[in-house]
Amino acid sequence: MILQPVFSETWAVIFGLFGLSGFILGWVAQRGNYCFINAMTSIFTTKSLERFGALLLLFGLTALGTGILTAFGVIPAVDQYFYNYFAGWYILVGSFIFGFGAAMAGGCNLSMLYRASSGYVQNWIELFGMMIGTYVFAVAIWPFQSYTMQAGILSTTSGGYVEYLPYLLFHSTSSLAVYVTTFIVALPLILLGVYFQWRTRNRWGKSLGGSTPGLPGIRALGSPGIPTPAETSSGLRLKQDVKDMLLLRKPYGTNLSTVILALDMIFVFLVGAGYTFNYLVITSSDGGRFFEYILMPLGINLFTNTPWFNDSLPIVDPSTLMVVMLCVGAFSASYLSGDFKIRIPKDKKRLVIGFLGGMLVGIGVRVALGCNVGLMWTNFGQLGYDGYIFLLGMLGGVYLAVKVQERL
Amino acid sequence: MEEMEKAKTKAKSYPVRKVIAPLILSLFAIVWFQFSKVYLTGADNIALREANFAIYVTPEQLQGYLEATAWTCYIVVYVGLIFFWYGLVRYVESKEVSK
Repeated sequence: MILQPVFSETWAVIFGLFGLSGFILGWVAQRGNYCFINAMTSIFTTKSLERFGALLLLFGLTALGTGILTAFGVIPAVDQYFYNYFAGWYILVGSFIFGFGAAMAGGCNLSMLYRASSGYVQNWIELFGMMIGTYVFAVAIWPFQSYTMQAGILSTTSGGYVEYLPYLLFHSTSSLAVYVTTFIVALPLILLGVYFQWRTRNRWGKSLGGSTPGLPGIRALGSPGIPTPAETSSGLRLKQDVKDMLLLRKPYGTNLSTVILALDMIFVFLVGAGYTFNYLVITSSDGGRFFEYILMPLGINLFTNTPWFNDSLPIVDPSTLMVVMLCVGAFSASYLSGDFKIRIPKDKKRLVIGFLGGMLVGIGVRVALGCNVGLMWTNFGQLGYDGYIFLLGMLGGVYLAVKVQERL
Repeated sequence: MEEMEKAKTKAKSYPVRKVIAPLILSLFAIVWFQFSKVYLTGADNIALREANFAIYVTPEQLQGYLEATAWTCYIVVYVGLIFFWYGLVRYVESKEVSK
């Protein structure tokens, strides 16, 4: 299909804006300590659904934003579905391996990158393990996987609009179909996310003997007019919180990070429309790409003779600069806030686990055709269904890792 | 009292890592740009020579990438150097006080 840009920016602007988006992603994730894996492990360890609720909110808000932009004709529907992947056994298996490996190594693709940029040596090792894992996948698994994909063995064979939920539900990609599907996808995710957070805070409130459970910021309406002393002090506290966050004295709250990250994804969706067909945010491919880059000065070009590298990975695309700037953003945030420090784990076993976990992350994300960001989160924004499969598999992998860690 | 203040400052001497970190970031930006210009352009030429259009990137796109990387590099280097200079002054100050 010939590229039909929605906006007429030059490639330099596209790359620059993707870089800016990566910077925001790294900055906010670092300040909010945003980790998909932590959100999931906390379900099984502390029985807390707060961060997992925030994840569902993130997916819901992203789907809502991209869906509305498409439904109102700002972005053509083709941009939303063009890069919807094939679906099959590999997403479930890959996400399970990914969830297990990432939980063992101590970070998802996003947190691995921002923690590595904040000086966590274990995440450097995880990143290196991921590169090796990508290579192992390329030579040992990809030929078989690509055969099953082409032959349709436990796999769909087309992708694109065939996997686009408006088409699946209404056999149409019209504005109305997109509009209705957007709400079918986004509303349950948002409501469930809010409910999970409310339930967790309610339970904490009860266990701590709190009197007013519920989401902060949501108050009962009534008695307008003169502010009560409580309202005045909460207003002052809010002002102080904002000031502290701007001066990097205080981390961002989970929900604030969630909203900024969702807006960042919608920004990429707008910027990339027509140019990259919303190959939105990719962090996993770059694990392989950077391995390829490291070897280039040694005269080794993996793209000339290695499976996967020679047919799946363009030399460079907007996500390259996005990932580089993600690291720069995370580094800047950690440096300016005083968090930056080279941290070597005292228990050297953690480094070995980090490497092995990283290898599983590399293998898992490539088997699944993407990571928690590039496939799961992005796919909710594409109104596909791969994100749901990935979420299920990842939860299974994280659960297994929690059980294994309990025995270690 | 004054002695206590001095001891406090000595204990909180400005960390060297905060001085070096922005410099490393600036160097990284320069190396990344040079790497992109030399190796990625070279790799793209090899891909074209081998007619591997799955990974080949059009000259406009590659040029756009290099242009964006150059501008990003300028920004990162300038900001990095500002922070390096600021950190160096703070570091020297803290050393002076501790003497």
